[in-house]
Amino acid sequence: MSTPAAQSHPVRVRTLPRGTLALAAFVALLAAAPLVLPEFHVTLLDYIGLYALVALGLVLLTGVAGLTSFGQAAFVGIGAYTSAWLTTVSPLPSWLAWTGGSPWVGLALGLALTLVVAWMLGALTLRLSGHYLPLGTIAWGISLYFLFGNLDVLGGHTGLTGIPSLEAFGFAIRDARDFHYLIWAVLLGAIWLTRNLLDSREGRAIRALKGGAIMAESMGIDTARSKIVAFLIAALFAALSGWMYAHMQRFVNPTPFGLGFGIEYLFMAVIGGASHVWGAVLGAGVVTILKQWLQDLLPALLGQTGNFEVIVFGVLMVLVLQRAPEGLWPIVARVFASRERSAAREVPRAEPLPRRTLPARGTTLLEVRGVTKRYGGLLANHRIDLDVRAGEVLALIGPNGAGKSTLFDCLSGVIAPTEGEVRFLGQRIDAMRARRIARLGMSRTFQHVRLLPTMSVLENVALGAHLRGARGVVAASLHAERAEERRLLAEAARQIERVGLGERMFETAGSLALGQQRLVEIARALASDPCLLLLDEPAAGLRYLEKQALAELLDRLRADGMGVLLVEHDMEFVMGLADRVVVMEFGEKIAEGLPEQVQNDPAVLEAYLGGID
Amino acid sequence: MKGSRLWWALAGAAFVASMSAQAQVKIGVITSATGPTAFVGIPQKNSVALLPQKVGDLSIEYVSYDDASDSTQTVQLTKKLLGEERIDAMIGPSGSPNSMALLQFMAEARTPMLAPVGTGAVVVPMDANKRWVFKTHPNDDVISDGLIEAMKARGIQTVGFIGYNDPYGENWYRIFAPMAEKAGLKIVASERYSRQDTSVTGQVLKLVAAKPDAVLVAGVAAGAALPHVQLVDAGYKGAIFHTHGSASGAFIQIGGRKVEGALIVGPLLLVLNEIPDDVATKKVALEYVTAYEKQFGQQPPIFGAGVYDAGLLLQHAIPEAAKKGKPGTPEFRSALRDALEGTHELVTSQGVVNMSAQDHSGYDKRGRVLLTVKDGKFSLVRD
Repeated sequence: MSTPAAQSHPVRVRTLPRGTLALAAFVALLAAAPLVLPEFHVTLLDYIGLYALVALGLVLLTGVAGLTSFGQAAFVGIGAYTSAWLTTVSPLPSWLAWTGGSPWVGLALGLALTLVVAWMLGALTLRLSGHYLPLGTIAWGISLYFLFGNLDVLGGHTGLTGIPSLEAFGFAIRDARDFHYLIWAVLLGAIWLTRNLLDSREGRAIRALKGGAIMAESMGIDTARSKIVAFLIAALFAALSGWMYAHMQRFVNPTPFGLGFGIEYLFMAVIGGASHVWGAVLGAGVVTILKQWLQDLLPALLGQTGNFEVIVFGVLMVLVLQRAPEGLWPIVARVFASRERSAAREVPRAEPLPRRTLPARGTTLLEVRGVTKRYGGLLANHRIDLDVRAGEVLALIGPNGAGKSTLFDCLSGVIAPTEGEVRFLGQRIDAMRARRIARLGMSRTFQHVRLLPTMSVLENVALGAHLRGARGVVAASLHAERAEERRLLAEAARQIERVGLGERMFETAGSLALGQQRLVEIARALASDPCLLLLDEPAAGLRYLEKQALAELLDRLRADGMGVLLVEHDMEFVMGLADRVVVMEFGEKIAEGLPEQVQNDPAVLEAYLGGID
Repeated sequence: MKGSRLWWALAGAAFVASMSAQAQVKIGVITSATGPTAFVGIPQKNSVALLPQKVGDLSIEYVSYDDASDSTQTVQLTKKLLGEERIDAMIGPSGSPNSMALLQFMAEARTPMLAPVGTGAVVVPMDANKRWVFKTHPNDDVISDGLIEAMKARGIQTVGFIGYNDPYGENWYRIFAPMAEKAGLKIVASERYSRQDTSVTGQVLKLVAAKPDAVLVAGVAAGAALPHVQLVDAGYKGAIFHTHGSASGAFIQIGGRKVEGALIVGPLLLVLNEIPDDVATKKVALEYVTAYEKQFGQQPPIFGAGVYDAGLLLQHAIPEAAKKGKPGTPEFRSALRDALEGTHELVTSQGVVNMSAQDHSGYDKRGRVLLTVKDGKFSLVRD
C-alpha cells in the first residue's frame, strides 16, 4: 500500500510544518476568494464545498470503514427537503407552529430525521456483506428519490420553490459570497471533527473494520456499533450539505438526490483519495471543475452540443483510477510530507491505566470439557478436555490439520463449538461472542497475522487496549478525551517496548517482517491487560535471538501470574518453555502431561513424530 | 508554449467581448436541448438562430444554455445568467415545471422573462412574481374556449379529463373545468398521470367506465399520445380532444394510426397552406416556417414558435425601453417589462397579441384553429 505514513499517525505534534503552512495558505485563499473572484466562480466553490462535505462522509464510511454506499445523495435530499418543506409550507401545521418556519429548526429537524432514517436503513443494510451492501444502498437510494418525486407535499417532480435564504445573528446569508463562508466554515469544521475522530480510540475501532470483524471483535470492539457510527456520521454530513444547498439554491427538485448523484459522490471520494479526509475536498474540486470545464470546452471543440462531457469524463476517470488507484491526494500529500518521515517523534508517556487483579496462581482460568466442532461430516475437534491455570504455560501441539486453530477459535468465541462446555473464570463462555469474552480478560493472537498494515505499530497495539477506554464518539471528535487517549497510547507503547519493538513503534505495521508482526500481535493482546493469553504460533518466523527474547517474555508473564495457552510447532521452544503439553491429532487429544512425559509417550511418537523410534 | 497560446486566445476573446459589450442588449436563453423535454427544447434552441440580431442601432446578443430538462440546472443557469451575464431579459425555459422554479429569481432580479411554455400557471393568477413573466404561447383559456366551442358544436354533453400531474395538467384542469361547467358540459371523470409513466391503463379504464361523450387529454406531444392510444385499445368510441400540447409531429409519430381523428385546438402554423391569405398571422408564420426550413431542413414543431414570438415581442419592446434607460441597467429592464406589458395588436406567428397588467400572454382566438389527424398529418377542420 502506498499510503504515506503521515496519514495515520496520532502523534503529529510539530512534525508537519509544510503541511500546516499549506493548510494556512489554503484557508487564506478560501477567505480571499469571494473578494476577488467573479460570482460564478464563487458559486462553483460553494458547490465544491457542498459536494466535499458529502464526500467527506464517504471517506469515513467507504474509504476508512470499507462500507461502500451509493445512496448518500438520498440523505442530502432528506436534509434539503425537510428544511425546504418546513420553510415553505403554508399554513404551517399546528404541531409545528412553534418553529415559525425557521430554517434553523429545519436544520435540526432535518438532522434528526436523517438520524432516524439512517439508523433504520443502517440496521437493515449494514449487516449485508460483499456486493450486497452496495446493492442495498442503491436500493434505498432509488426508493428515497422516488419518494421525493411522488410526495405531493414535496412538490413532486416539479419541486419546491420560494425557499428563504438564511439569516444568522442579524447577518443575511443570501448570495453565493455569503454562502461561501458558511459552507467552507462548516466543511473545515467537519474535517477537523473527522480527523479528531479518526485519531482516537473510537476512530481506531472504525478503521479496524476494514481488517475484518474477527480481529476487531476479538479486541472487544463492537463492530456493528462502529459501522453504524460511521454510517450515521456520513449521513449527517450529507444532510447538512443538503440543508445548505436548499437555502442557497432556494429551489429543490428530486434530481440532485437521485442515484446518479449518489454515484458521483462516491466518485469524488475515490478520485480524491477515499482514505484521506482531504481527498474528499480534492475529489469534489477536481470532479466539479473538470465537468464544468469540459461542458464549456467540448461543444466549442466539437461544434455541437450534447452531453459529450460525460464520455470524456468517464475516460479520464478510468485513466486516473488506473494510474492512481489510491486517488489523487497521496500524490499531492507527497509534496508536503517529503521530510516528515525523518522527524523524531515522542514516545507517549502517561500514568498507567488501572489493571485488573489477576487470579491467584494455580487458579483454574479455563476449563474445556468435551468440546466438539463439526463441519458437516468433518470432525475438526472431538471431545477435547483441557485446563489452563493462572501462572502456567500450556502448550498445544500436533501436526498440521490436527484442529488446534479450530480449538483456539472455539475458545475465544470466534466460532461456537457444536458440543461441549467452555468455562472461563468459572463462567460459561461457549455461547458468548468474542468481544464479551475479551472483556472477561482473555486475549489472543492469530496464526495468520491480522494487523492493519497502513496503521502504525503503535495504533495497532492501541486497538488491544480498546476496552480499557470509555470515552465516546462525541468526546473523540472534539478531542476532549486526550487524557484518556494519552494513557491508552502510553500503555500501547509500553507493551511494544515489552516485546522489543520500541524502535519501530511509529512505522506502519505492514512494513515489518512477518516475525515482528507476530510480536506486534502479542503486544496488542497484552495491551488489553488479559489474565489468559492465547498465542497461535507466536514463534513462527522469528530468528533465534528473537525466539529467546519471546521465551523470556512469556516466562515473565507466567511469573506475574498470567495463564498462557500456546500453539506452536517449534519443539525446542515448546519443550523449554511449557509447564504442560497437550497433543492433538485428527481433532482428538491423544496425550497430555509434562513435556518430558509427552516426549516419551509412544502414541505421540507414533502419531506426531511420524513413527521414528 | 501551449499554455501561453491559450492565454493569448483568452485575452483576445476578452478584448473582443469587451468591445462588443457596447450598445448591446443581452438576452439569456435557456432551453431543454437534451433530456426528456428535448423534443420541445431542440426546436426552441434552433429558433434562437432566427431571432432578430439588431433592433434600431442596438445589437442583440443571445447567451444560450441547455438545462438538460432538469429544473435544478435551470435554476443554476438562470442564476449564472442573472448574476454573471447581467442579462436584460430571458427567453425560456422549455419546461413548465422549470419555468415555475424561476419565478422568484426573475422577480428578485427585476428582469423580464418570456417563457415559451404551455402552462398558464406561469402568468395566472397574476402576482408580484409573475409580474416579470410573459408567456409566449396562447393561454390555456384561449385554447380551452376553442375546445368547448368544438365540443358544443358536436353535441357533446359529458367529458372525461386526463392530464399530467404537474403544472401543465393541473392548470389545464383548473381552467377547463369551470369553463366547461359554465357552457353546460358535465365532467364525469378526472384522471392524472405522470410524464414518466409508460402505461395509464388504470386511469383509462376508469375513464371508459364513466362513459363520457368525449375525453380531453392534457399532455404534451408523445406524452399525449399514450392515453389516446390506450383509450382506443380499451374500445373507447367517443371523440378524443387534445390541448395545444399535442399539436406536434411527435404526437402522430408515437400515436400512429390510433390517433387518427384526434381533435386538437392549436396554432394555424401546422396547416398554413390551408389558411386563407387574408389571415394576418399567416404572413408572420410563413416567414418563420420558411426561415426554419431553410436553416434546418425540416418543418418547425410548434414549440419553436414560442421562442420566435418572444423575439418578435422583444423586437417590438426594446426600442420603447431604450428611451427610458441604457441596456444593462435596472431602468432598462424595468422599462422593457412595462413595454412588453403594453404590447398592442402585435401580429406573431401564433396569433395577435394584446397584453395587459392582468394578461401576460395576450393571444386571442385569431391564432387558434381546430385540427384533426388525417392520414398521418394535421389538417384543418372547418366547423
